[in-house]
Amino acid sequence: MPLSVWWERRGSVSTARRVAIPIVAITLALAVGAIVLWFAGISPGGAYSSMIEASLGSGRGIAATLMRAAPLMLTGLAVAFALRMQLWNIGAEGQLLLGATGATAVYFAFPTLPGWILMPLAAVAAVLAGGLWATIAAVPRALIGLNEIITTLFLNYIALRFVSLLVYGPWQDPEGKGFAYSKPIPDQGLMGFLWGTDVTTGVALSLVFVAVSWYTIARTRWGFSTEILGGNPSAGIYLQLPAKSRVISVMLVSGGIAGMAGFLQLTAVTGRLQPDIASGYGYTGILLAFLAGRHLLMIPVVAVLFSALIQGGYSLQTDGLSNSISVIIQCVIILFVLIAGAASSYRLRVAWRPRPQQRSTSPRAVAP
Amino acid sequence: MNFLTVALTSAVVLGAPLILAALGELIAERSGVLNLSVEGMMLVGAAAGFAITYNSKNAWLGVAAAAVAGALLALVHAFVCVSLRVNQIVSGLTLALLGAALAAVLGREYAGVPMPVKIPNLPIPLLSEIPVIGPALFSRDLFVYAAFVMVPIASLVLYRTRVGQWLRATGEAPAAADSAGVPVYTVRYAAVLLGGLLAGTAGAYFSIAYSRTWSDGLTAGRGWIAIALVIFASWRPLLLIPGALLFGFIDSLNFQFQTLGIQVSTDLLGMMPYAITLLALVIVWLRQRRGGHGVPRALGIPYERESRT
Repeated sequence: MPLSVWWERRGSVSTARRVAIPIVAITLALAVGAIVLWFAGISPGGAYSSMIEASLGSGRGIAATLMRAAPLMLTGLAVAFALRMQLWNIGAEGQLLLGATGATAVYFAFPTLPGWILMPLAAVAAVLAGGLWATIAAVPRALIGLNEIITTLFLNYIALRFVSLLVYGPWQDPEGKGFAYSKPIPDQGLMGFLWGTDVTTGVALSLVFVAVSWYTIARTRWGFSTEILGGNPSAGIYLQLPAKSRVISVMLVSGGIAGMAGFLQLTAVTGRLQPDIASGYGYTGILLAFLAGRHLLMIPVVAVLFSALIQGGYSLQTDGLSNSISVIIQCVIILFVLIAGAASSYRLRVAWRPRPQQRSTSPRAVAP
Repeated sequence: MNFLTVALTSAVVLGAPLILAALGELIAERSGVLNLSVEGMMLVGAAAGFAITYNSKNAWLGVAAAAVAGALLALVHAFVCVSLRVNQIVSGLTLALLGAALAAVLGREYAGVPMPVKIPNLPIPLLSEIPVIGPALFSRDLFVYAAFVMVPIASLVLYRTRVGQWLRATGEAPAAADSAGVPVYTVRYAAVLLGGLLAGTAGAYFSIAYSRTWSDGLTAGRGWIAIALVIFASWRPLLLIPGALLFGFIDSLNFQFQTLGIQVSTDLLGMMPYAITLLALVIVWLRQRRGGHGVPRALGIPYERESRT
């Protein structure tokens, strides 16, 4: 008898496995990260302990981690929201940039308005700018079916150049010695702190966005029909759901959420428009949405995890490594979750008998 | 050199790596596997190629290392998507970001270091004497020649050989191909790996031959343009050449305007490749509508043998 190896589909995946997968994935990803660190000539133990110290080891560290989690939550939510309709919004980075630009425009147009009216105005501008930027890709997708992955991505590069154009041109800080940033926004436009903590109001705002989005998707007619259109387009057409206009409105909301992340970055972190204001959060948002999966309420949890990784990464203060190590760990977590998820819905069989050709145990073999 | 020669030269020089990367992606997509990690594979190739060339002083060893680095990333994609049947978009995007980050770590000691070796230009006798076309097309290095020669070869293989027939069948109707005895999984693995080899090589072109230096994010989104080129060419190899030349030319506008002494914002020009590609995609997609775009029918769909009926 020859030795045969094959994959066999399992009927279902147990809860224990579902819980174990992310934990194992994170552990393995940290191990891969350690190898990368060691390869780069840095002691993994020392690096990890300084990462933990910087992100979770002190009140300041925790506050910084939470603050960084706020825009990540929004970019992740933006991607995950569009994914509920099977739309791949890869453009959160650009929508964030446009959101920050829109808010900056409001601040520069009305620099003397009181904060309580100026800030909401700027936030609305950010949401609109981000949303409209996303519709540039949504319209060709809705009308002629041009895939949105490449188009949203190209819009990121265009947005980056657009912001650069502004901060080197009309909005350049005259006292900035030619550096790439705008004049500062007025003081009354800066984000305040939550009651007596080091955490900005942005964290609470982001949680509200997550909660409202979850409610909209999970508890309203609009959300339900959106999911039908995403999961089973032909059923959507049969039910006469507005497929084309829904693509545009979902991308508008998705882009708007990412634009709000731009408002947070502007008012809570940089205080002025600059090309690096997005710091790759739009791309991290994609990974975040992949890891959170279909559960919008998981987004804050994953955002804090990723934020701690990024915050910790900066503590390494090594060029080319500080930014990358957190991205590497995030990506490897996702790859292991994918692999483990697929592997646990299959069973690896090794036996001293020929591989069965047609198996009735496979549910896909009986169901069409 | 006159303007026309400069314009054509830069279109060829910047179009060649686009051809390599896009051809690799086209092959993978023709087998039914969408690999969005081209940018990541190119960056890994660029960093590995630079590191190996710098340390060995042998550019071709560097190119080989770059190809292998690109293929390693592609192997992960093939394993996750072909064997484990995970969503190809999720895997591809994750690997695009992973590749960029790995390249940043790999290349960090070489940032700003000049490349010690030069890949020589090899003017082809007689042909290189032709005005305009001669200096632009026939006085280039092996990279450029290889890129342009590979396209008609790929086209011949794809449409005129057994292997090409297998590849097309796998991408169009994997179940039928499987029944007919085509090794679907092997074909898909091979196509994705070949795509990785070519993308890695395209990346090495930037670090070893074109920029001759390493900096973070060196390829600046050209991997994504390569993916767009495949759509632009409606999945036909020969159509990659005009597309790549056009985008190579747009890509070089910054440099062109400088040589002509025309003052245009570099940011405005930097937008051009992406803005024009976006516009071109919309127009091409509209025009192709009646012809059915040429998208391989099984593109993005994992093949599962058990579900064969």
